[in-house]
Amino acid sequence: MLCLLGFSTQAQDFKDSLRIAGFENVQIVEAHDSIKVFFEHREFRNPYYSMRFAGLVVNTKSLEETEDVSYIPVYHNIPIGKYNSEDYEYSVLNKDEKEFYNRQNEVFKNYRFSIRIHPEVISRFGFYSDPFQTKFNLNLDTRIYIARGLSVQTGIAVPIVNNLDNQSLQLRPAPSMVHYFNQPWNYNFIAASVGSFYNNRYGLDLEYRHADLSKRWSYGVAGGITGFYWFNGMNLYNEPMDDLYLTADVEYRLPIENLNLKLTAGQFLYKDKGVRLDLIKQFAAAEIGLFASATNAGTTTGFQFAFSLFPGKIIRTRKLEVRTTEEFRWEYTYNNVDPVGQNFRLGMPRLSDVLRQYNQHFLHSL
Amino acid sequence: MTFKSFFLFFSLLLALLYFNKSKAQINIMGKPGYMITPSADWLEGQPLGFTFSYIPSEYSKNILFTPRITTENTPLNFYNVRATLTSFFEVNLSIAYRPEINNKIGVGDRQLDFRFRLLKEKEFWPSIVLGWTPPGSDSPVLAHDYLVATKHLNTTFGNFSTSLGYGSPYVFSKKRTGKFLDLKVQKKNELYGEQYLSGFYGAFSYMPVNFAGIMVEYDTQTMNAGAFIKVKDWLYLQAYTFEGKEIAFTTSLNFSLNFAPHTLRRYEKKLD
Repeated sequence: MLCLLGFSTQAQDFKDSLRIAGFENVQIVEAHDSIKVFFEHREFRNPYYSMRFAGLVVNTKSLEETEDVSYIPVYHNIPIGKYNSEDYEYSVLNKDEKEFYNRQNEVFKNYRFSIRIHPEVISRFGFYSDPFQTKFNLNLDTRIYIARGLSVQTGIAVPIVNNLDNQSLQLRPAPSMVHYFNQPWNYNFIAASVGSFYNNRYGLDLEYRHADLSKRWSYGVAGGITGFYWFNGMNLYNEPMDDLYLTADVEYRLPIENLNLKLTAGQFLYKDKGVRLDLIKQFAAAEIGLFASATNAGTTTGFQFAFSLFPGKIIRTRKLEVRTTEEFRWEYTYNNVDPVGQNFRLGMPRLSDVLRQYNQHFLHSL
Repeated sequence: MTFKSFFLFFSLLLALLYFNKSKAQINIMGKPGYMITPSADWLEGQPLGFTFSYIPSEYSKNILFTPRITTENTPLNFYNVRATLTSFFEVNLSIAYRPEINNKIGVGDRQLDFRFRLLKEKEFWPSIVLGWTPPGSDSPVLAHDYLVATKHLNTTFGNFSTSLGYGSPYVFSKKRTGKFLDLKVQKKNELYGEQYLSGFYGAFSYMPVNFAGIMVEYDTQTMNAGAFIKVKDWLYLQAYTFEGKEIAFTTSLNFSLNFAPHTLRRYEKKLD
């Protein structure tokens, strides 16, 4: 009994320290020779750093050498997998761990109110009269969890500059959606979103991905039915939801310096059928990709990059957090006249971009 | 052998043995190189680079000759981004901007090219890099394909580097059919009158101290000479002249992408 009490106070101590360090939904399972730490850390894009951070916090609390530590990072309220603290080896959660998490996962109590600063930059180069046309908005949004894996993302968009089109500089609603994320069976992930998205699309978006995070292969399908919308201040204009996209992709992690090859085929936005090949390099702090697409609409090449914005945390108290976005992504297409192989952005990373970060080969290389 | 010559010989041998990471400066188009010419250097640990360069109007046509649009000579600016994706593969994107005539040419010509490191520098071997511009551009005015070898010599009285390269005088041009890969091979100077990096070129640099150096090159058209300074590990500035007549400059920023988030770094600092 005394012994159990000792464990629970230590666990409580860990939980408090982790919460102060910015972790949310922290749950700790302690046995006599092991400790498992569930947590969500929304500020960091790369889970390697949230695990390293958790390790530092826990280790400074005088862990015994013999204790075996594993981390269970949670993304959008769903545990992704279990990682050994020694070499980031991935394994799936067992039944007890899942049940423990579900019991402890109190979505209203375990999270801060998190305000995210998420810039949006849309540029078009090359027109002679105005070679650098840019629209720049600062989107202030939040994600509130309402049930296991279910969340609402909403906020306001603060337009800063616009010499691209005639959208007004009045405040307008930021892309807002209801989002559901889950791992119903091991290695199988689903994400569903309903609402307004980036790139002026609104409607429904579904993604499924099979990814054993200890393997090099993963594949997925994505589809959605969307329409065009446009806010001028609070005035909404929208067109019918009648554009269907449906794509399938296969991704392979090359055994070369964190390079990934991804082949996507199907019907893209604007009923454009074709293929797109991505070469994606993962760095610890960023992702840089090259791509080439060939569709009915034509061919194009381009690049994209994604990184967390500096400085990350701005304000953090027990109940509130203001931070910069965990992922700013930007894509440049050489062919900027015809939309070739286009898709829209949701306002959160897509499944393949999320799960690529959790691959054990990547984490092990860092 | 006198003592003095023995000493010189011996220190030269010793100098050859301490073989450190090559520190590269950056050329006009954001690639490791000298002033106009690229070298076979590889920036280790700094996979992301941003480079701005200014070329005076008198010599701008040596780099970008655009008689189809304008015969005016105006100053030329390059905005470049470099991304090193692996230890042997690098991507460069350049935009050639002429601020004085942007109403005629807009943002300017865009150039995407790759560098492949075929050979790492060894004690007695130079590094070798192949530069390649993938065909398919509608107006490949900045296209350049080259093979270059670079050797460093680090001695107790400074670091020397020398490069010898050959730039192909041919370019892939697109036929007017509009098809993606309907290409033909043409001589660069017959297509647009371009001369940039066609033929043999060579360069030499000397860094007497680890933060600055001087360099000279033959870029297939002119002899250029200049100096560079490493202000920070990530910031290089250089100024040079074309044939001793006109001044040009380049600023280059190069960054690591393997660093921890700010919040974690602050926490780690507090622990120490």
